[in-house]
Amino acid sequence: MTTQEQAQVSPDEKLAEALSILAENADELKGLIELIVELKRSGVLDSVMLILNRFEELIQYLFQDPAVFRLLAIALDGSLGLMNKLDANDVIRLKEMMQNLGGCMSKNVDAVSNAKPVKGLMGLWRALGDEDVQRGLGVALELVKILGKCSSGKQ
Amino acid sequence: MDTMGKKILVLGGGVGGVVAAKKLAERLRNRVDAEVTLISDTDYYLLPPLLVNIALGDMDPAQAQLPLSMLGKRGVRSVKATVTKIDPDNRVVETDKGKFNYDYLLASLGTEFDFKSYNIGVGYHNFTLDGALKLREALMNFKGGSLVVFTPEPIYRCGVYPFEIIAQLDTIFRKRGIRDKVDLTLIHPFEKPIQPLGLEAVKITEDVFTQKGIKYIGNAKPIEVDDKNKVVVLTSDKVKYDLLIVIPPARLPKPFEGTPLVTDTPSGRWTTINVYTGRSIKYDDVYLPGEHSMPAIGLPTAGVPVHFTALASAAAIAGELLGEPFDPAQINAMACAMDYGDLGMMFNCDIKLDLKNNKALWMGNCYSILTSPLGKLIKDLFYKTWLQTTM
Repeated sequence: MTTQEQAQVSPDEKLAEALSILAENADELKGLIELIVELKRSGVLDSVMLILNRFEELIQYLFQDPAVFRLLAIALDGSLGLMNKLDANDVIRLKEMMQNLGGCMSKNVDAVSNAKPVKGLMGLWRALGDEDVQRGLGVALELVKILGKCSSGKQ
Repeated sequence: MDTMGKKILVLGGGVGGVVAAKKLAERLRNRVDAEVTLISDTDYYLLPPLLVNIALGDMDPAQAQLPLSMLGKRGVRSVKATVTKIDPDNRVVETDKGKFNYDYLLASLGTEFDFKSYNIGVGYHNFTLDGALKLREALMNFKGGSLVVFTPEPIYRCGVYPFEIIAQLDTIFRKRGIRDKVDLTLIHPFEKPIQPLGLEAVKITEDVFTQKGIKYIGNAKPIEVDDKNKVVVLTSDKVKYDLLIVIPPARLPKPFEGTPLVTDTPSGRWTTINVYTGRSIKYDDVYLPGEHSMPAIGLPTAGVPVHFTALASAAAIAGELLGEPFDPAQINAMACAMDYGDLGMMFNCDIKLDLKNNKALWMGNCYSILTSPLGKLIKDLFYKTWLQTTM
């Protein structure tokens, strides 16, 4: 219908047309109203409105503080770039390592916070007698080796 | 301070005018006797980044615009008129609908699009609604051949646009199954694509162009478009086209011509402002947070810097009228979302305000935040939410 034709339609005809659309879509409208009521009751709608009402404030904050963008660049872009270089087996191995190391380390948080300083060469000598320290040093040296290899561009 | 019946005149119904008018109304309403009037040559606000969506057939024009009368609920009076002259010495703005006096002037008139130079007026574009609709039709009728996107000069609205549209066209022609019948070429004055954003952006874009089979002719020195023979003539080359899309150089809007608001800069004749507040460097009661002021302070002619400079200007005017200290909150970061067809990019440039030299420094300080198809979605969501919340 053109704008001119629309202007020629009487208010009664417009009302009749609107009622007809409502009647034709009664079931969908009922569902829609129930959905809106549920969204309102659950608080989701209010949260969305809050974000929309404060959208301007939000972007002003973001553009004021490049730290947020810097964090996104490293955490999001950097991590996505890294993830794209892995294959499925790398993902499985890394995930297992994170789970094992993470689980074990979180159980030893107290030991970390109560760690005693290693004093002098003799202190270091005694610490090297511990099997866990020997193993940890082995891991650290292996990591150092990988760091050297990767940074030299060999792989 | 005497604030009886202060008249604040906002020129331009684009990003700068709309965000400034809204901010002024929010800060001043019921606190100061001030009248905010917005003058625009259209009675609607159209979000320019969505013109590309219209041209590519993804969006109807109605979805990309809002009536300026919506600002009425905030007490802003909007007047449809074309500004013809600004007289800052007598605090008068002349329009085709009469003269307007002001106590404060905030002008954000975008840029003129120069379609005369290089005879680029023969090409299609999407820098206006009418242009976007014609380009949409031309693209729908395009069945194959050589499509050239021609950017003759480095200063134009939205610096990333030519790099986006050429990549988006590749995706569209693939979807239509005619990509093998189309040659895509981008002609641009930068030696490398998207160069001001730095090496990371150049590499991503070059990789995208290689993958998509897009030819980039950089460092181009244009002579003219020869429409009779359908070639873009460069000093070094002649590039044949069947469909030509042009990027018009940005020029100073006519109402500023011959006014003391303008100075010669290395990048042309532009209005000049304080980089921190958007205030004219010559008139205390004039603020010019528009694209026409961006080249002089080193910022790109694009919506993001205009948006925040306009907010800074509105904060300065409101602060002065309220007799309160104000924080212009000028930007320290400039993020940009780009759509490369099947890939989205979000880039940020850290900005350092060099108040001594009145410049915003950002080149060489840019990095990717996200390079993923998700970036396209974020861009889409950002612009649509921005439009819906802007008034």
